[in-house]
Amino acid sequence: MLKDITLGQYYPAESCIHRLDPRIKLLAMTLYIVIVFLAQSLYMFIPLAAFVTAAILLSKVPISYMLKSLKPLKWILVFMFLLNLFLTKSGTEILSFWIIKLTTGGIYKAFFISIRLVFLVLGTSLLTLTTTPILLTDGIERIFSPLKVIKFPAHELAMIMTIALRFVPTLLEEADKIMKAQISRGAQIDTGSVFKRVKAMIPILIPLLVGSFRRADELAMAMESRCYHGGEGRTKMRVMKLTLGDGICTLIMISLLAIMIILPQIFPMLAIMP
Amino acid sequence: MIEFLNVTHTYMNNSELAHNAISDISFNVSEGEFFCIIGQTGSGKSTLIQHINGLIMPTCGKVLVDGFDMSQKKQLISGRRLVGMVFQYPEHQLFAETVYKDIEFGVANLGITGDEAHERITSAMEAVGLCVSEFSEKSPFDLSGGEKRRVALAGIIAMRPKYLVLDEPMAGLDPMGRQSILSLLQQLQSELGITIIMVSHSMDDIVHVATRIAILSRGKIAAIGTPGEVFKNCELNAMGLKLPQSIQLIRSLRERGIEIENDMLDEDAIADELLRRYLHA
Ligand SMILES: Nc1ncnc2c1ncn2[C@@H]1O[C@H](COP(=O)(O)OP(=O)(O)OP(=O)(O)O)[C@@H](O)[C@H]1O
Ligand SMILES: [Mg+2]
Repeated sequence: MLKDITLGQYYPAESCIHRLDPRIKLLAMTLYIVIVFLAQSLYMFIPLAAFVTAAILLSKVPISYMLKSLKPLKWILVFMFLLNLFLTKSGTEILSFWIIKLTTGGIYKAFFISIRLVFLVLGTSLLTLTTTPILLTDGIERIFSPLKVIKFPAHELAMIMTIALRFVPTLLEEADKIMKAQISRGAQIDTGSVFKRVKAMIPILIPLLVGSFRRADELAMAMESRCYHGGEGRTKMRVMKLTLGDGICTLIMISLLAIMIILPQIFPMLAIMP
Repeated sequence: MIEFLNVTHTYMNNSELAHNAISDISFNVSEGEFFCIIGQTGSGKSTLIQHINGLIMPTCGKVLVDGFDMSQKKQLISGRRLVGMVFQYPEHQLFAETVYKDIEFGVANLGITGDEAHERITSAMEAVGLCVSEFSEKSPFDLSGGEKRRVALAGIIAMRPKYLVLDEPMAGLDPMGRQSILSLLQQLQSELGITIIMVSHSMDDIVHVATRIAILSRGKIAAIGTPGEVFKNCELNAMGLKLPQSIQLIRSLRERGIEIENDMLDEDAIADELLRRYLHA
């Protein structure tokens, strides 16, 4: 039942993208988002498309898998598309019907916004698909660790994230089990009025909550008995070392940024919308 | 009667991770049996028994409980009333403020109230060995692990199911606790005529109580029959299972030339038999 929900969908594979340092990947992602917003016209998505395609091919994540990450977004996409299509009033008018006016500017903007959204999602999914959640939080911790001097709790935040991520599947599994147990005791979860349904959740939520506290307690005990005392003086099992690939990745990202900045300077007419 | 007809269950069907937890399983359990399912970790035992209550549906095949097809929504509801299901670590499902209220939950869901409900709850508590006056008003969260398990068990027994399905009811209990749960189940079977289907992975627990045993291995039934038949014909070691200690004892006695004909004696009976022979010799 609940177990079909997949979260933090990591796709295990051996590729140069998977091997990149998570810090570099996170920084590249930030740059990528900036770049996507730099694209001010449809033509400017061409180099971006080339880059994303190359990255997906290199990552060995099947295209079908990538497209699946767009699926939950389809209604937002449709909504944004229609909203921009009908509410933008610029350029020449093509069609006018009652209060609805279709303009060239509207069509252009609708496509533009949708494509921008697709690019954002594709890029970020590529990050989560090729990096395990643990590596990701580890990367975040390291990126923010210089801020420790101003008492920013980088390690604690990363630890909280790691533990939360770790327990998502466990909690789902537990919820599934408790639901089954109460159903077989005659609980009716999916029938009746709203009030009845909410009431029917109590026998599921209470054991789940009790279980989480028990787990938290056990985990705290297990961590303490292995001398966990927070971030100070703690060494890492995984030593992150930058490799040649990370350098190349940085270089590519910077060149892409440069292209996106320079392109509209060389061809000024590309930057403006029709 | 519970019938499994060519049941296959695939988890995460239609995905890259699809995986047959059980495949093409057929067997029957008749009324009044004490049927045990045994197998290694991951052999599909829990998956198998959840079909009996329609909690998971077969990918292929059919499960019939007294003729009710558990994959039809209408029949499922009637079928579910006949089956009581006790999960692995059932104590994790307790939720009410008091032991009494928790046991009442299932009974109330059957639409039973008043005196009959009270009678069922108290007799279920007595059956599992919980003193009614002492435990009724306690919070289930203040009990020990073994007591919690008894409460959970009482919650199902009070529903008076015709078939009682249990997933490793003895896991994590001490030998005394195991023994008392086991004799409780035996009592339910012999005195109240409840059909018991129990999953276990210890042979020693079930060899002397089971009327029939099914051995599950990699999602298939490797052997099925009375304990005697199963132990005679089946290569248990290959499936990661051990013979019950009593049978190991009889076999090693046999290797040393002491023949005990009845394979199914328990340890005490073997000791008596040896003593008898010694005194006669
Ligand atoms: N919800 C699930 N989703 C995907 N696969 C599952 C799920 N539940 C079980 N499996 C897989 O199905 C197989 C059988 O699992 P099952 O829980 O039935 O084993 P089991 O015999 O009860 O084991 P144990 O003795 O450890 O309880 C295992 O390989 C397991 O990985
Ligand atoms: Mg199991």
